[in-house]
Amino acid sequence: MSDQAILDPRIAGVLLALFSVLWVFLGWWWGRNATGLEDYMLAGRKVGLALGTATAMATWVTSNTTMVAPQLAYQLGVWGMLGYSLGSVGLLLFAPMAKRIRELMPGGFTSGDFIRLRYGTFAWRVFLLVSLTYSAGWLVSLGTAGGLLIQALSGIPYLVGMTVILTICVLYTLLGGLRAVIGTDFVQTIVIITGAVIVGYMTLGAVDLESVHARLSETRPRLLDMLMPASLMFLFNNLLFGVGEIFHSNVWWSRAFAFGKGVGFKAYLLAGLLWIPIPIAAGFIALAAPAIGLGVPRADMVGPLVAAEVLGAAGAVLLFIVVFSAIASSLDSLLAATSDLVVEDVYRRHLRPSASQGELRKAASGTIVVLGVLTWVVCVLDVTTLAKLLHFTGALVASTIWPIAAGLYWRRTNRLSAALAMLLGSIGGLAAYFAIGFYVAALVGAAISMFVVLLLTWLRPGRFDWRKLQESEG
Amino acid sequence: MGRLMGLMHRAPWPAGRTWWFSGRFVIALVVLAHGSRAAARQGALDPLDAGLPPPALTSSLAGASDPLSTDGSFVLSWSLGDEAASGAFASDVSFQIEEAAGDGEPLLIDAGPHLTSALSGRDDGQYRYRVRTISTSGSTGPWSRPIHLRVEHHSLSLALSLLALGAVVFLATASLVLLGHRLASRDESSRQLPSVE
Repeated sequence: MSDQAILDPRIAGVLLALFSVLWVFLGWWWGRNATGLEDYMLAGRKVGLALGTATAMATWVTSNTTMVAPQLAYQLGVWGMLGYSLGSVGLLLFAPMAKRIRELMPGGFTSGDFIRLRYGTFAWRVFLLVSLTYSAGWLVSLGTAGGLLIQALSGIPYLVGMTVILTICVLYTLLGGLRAVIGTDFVQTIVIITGAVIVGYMTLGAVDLESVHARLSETRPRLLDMLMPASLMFLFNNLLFGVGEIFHSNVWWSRAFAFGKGVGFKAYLLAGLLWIPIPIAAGFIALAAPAIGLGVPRADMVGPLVAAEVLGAAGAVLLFIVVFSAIASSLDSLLAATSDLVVEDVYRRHLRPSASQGELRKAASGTIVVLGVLTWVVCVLDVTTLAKLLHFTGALVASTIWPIAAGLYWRRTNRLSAALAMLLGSIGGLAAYFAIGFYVAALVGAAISMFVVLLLTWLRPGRFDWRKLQESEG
Repeated sequence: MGRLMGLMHRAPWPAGRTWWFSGRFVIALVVLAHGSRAAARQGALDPLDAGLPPPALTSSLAGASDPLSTDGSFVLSWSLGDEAASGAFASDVSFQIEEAAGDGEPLLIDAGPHLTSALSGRDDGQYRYRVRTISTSGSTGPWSRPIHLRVEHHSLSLALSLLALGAVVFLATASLVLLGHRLASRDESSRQLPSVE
């Protein structure tokens, strides 16, 4: 790619410095009173509706929303754009589950706690493998996306941009734990929504819809084809990928534990509804690329390139801030939630069962730093390999949908069905990934997992005592 | 700033569905300090005078003998010989791709100053691509050797089958959660620990 950028590196550097100072200060400010383990990991379990909605929404607006939503519109057309917005279904369906989780496990810490208590050790370890693989892929993809986006937008070298964004997120998550993450998410949500509205409004005013349609019809007819095979397959695949990500990941479970009583349901519902238009707006501008004659070197850069092309210098500044906020809001959440999972499910449950609250608090801080350093090392060594891992994990995370949902609502679902559903769903989904394409991996993984859970629940019904889940308290 | 300076219009040459950019053709994305950069550009030699070789063109598709795309998307990449030379010249030239679908008339596509181009939305068929350089003064370099590739979308029956499977899995999952929520809420209202059969 050429060395041409859409924003002067000096201005980008000033923006990067300003927002870095702001996030770290806010993180320190909001987290300064978080002394105990529950305060640090779960923000005292009393997060309110406004902060709850904002953190759920901001975390779900990731670099994927700003890069992959336009990419999928560019590659898969109208269904790609609409299909990506179905990612909101995961948030909407998690709303009732958040309420259920809070009721069943008022003292729970992680999604791993639920799987361990509900399905036993073997299924728990399979789950940890799935979840930590997914978290590693997401962390690396966010780090690399941050570096690449900053480089593409401003010309600031990849290594510098990636290092800055990782360091900043590690620093304020370390200082304030989940309080800092949720507080900064609130500000970042305001920035993202405001930026998206302005970018969408300005793009609609700058691009002639008729010429967009005419140019697409002439040169890329399949993007307007409602029966394009790959996009039809993608439609439910993306929905199930998103559902799998949200149902299993400790990013969302830790919030369900952290939200005050009665908040989780409303917060996730509102966040899902607010999220729907964002990928549609981001995807639409990608379809304008052929009409404005813009050369697109990489499909995942089409959104930022078109926005900057159409909106000019002011748009480039706005875009830079929105992208920086979107990546930071997801990276901090993932650092905090993965740290919780490692500390609770690996350190405490496997290595030091007798660890005191103080030791666990120190372990949580240390884990955040270690995760940050490991992510940085991988991002430096190889910008592509592990980032691609995230695409593979569609099969893995979708295979957890049924074990988790059935485990929360059905007494009869047994241990064997959960473990087998995750194993066979993952294997089947990965096979479909290589045999057909990325747009079917989650779908096949979820379908196999569902079949296994239904079959084994019917053949070998259990009778789980819900009170066992409350052993996680304390 | 940040806008394409050429206006796209129908060209009399070559005939048919061909697009090109008129006038001075400067693909420059937003550069706030554009004054100094623009001045530097104006003083630069036309890179085509330096005798640039034709670009070496490749595609992202697997299959050396019969590259195939099953979703109508692929990436074309090219280089100008030495990697370093490519990077140096790429800031002073743009690239133009010629696409020929089957026996149809060729179409020119602006690729900007980049060394790759992501294409999508192609219909089933055989395609031929080649690429060339265009300098800021509008002069063009030699065409690359053409590459051929094939687009053949997945069958509609496979797509509709997977769509139906996805719909079933989604509806079953949503039913599980929503019905479970309803029953659990009913239990909660009767002040029992939430439980659903």
